[in-house]
Amino acid sequence: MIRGYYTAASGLISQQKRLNSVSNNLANVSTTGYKRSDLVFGTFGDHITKRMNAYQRGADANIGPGTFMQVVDEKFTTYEQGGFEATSRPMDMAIMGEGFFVVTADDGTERLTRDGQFSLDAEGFLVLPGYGRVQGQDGDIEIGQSEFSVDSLGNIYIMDEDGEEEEIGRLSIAIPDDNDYTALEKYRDGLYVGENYTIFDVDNVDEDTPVPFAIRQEQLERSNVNMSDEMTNMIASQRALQSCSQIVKMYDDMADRISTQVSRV
Amino acid sequence: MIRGFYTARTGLKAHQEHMNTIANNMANVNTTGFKPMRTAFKDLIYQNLNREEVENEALVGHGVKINKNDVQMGPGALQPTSFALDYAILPENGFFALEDSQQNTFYTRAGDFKLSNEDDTYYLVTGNGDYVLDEDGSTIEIEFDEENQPIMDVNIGVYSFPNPYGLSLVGQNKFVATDISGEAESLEDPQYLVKNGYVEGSAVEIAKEMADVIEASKAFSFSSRMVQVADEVEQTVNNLR
Repeated sequence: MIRGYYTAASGLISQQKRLNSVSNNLANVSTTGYKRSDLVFGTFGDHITKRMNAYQRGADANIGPGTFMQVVDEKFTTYEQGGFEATSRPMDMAIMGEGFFVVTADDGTERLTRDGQFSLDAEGFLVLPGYGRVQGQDGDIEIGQSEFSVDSLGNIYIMDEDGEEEEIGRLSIAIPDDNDYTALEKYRDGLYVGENYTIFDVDNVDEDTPVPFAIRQEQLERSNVNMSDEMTNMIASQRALQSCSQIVKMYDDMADRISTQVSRV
Repeated sequence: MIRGFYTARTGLKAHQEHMNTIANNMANVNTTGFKPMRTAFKDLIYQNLNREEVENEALVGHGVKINKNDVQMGPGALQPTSFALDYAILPENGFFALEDSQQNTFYTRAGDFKLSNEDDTYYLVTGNGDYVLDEDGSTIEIEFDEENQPIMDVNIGVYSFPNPYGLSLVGQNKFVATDISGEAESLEDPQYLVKNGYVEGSAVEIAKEMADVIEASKAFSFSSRMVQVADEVEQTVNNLR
């Protein structure tokens, strides 16, 4: 069969996968802390195309490199800052700048998230509903009441009986090592899986390493999906897919002619 | 069918639910003591598009779901009514306690009370007949003076919760306590925490709700466009031959 037939088909498949990715971004345009993802296309390895020499067996003549297939290489996620939205819940928090909140499930698995829509559970701990407890510097954070305040470094204060502010804990903010966000992987529910990260030590801050984040209470980080980008990608992908399908049709037409008209000669 | 079709469908569904929440908030823009709800979204699981033996992972998500609907406990504006039986609670974390005929306890911010007459005794009740409780948790009897005016020298209880955001809404402006909200605590000197002749208006901010409507409807129409595109893709593929 003609090689281009399969090349066009690989284009069809790649564009379909791209549309799946665009579709997920579009669906998550209102998801708090969502970071948009896109697919990177690559070639399925370069091949040296050779012409078989009909007269001298084994003496092939190179006619240069070529690629047959377009395939999905990998996905990348854009960790660009999303906008902020004010709420009136003290448990809502957003990170401005670098880093992630750390949450731990009941079985001890640790995940990172930018989604600060926390709640208090029945025992008064700060939780990410549906996953687990939010981690502070000393493990789970017990607050016990909804009247508390959080400063930009993540220190949590409650009013004691004398009306004095009392620090009861500090949020852990995880920063990926070497700021390498690509090592993180999306999990579900706005959570990320990663291994190479450290909890930022707010106490050891000097002029060279300023605090790379600020916590904002009663605010949420909006999704960073850009609708016009996604719509453009969607249209571009759809048209590319249609072009590929046209090529498949043309090859089909050629194959048809070869099998019927050429044989008629 | 391509996955994007179903992914976009989750978007349609979630944004439609979001619209329902907004519609409920807007419908209650004049409901005394109403607290608006806010919808929280979460993304769904991710799946690798490449085969397992391929080194590079190409994770693609499966859409969106509604994770929770939170009550926003921000205060509503106080509205003067000059009715003798209207009360508004001043602190944000404060609720009137109610008891229905089956001795179930509810909590509310709506203080537009009425009188009910049972065996020549007048009780302070809400519009749907639940008894209002005082600071000790008992029903409130109202007496009348010589001019047949109710004597509103009563101590209506004001209760607070460790975590009022954990209260569960049951309709008719009533909340019930849950494990998450914690136990209700009767506040001292409740007469200073309420304002007679006023009610607390709805805490719905119509401008915010309108902005949310626009956002939800746009997100809905983008998702529906995606369904359409996925359909057209299938059509293209089906017409290959």
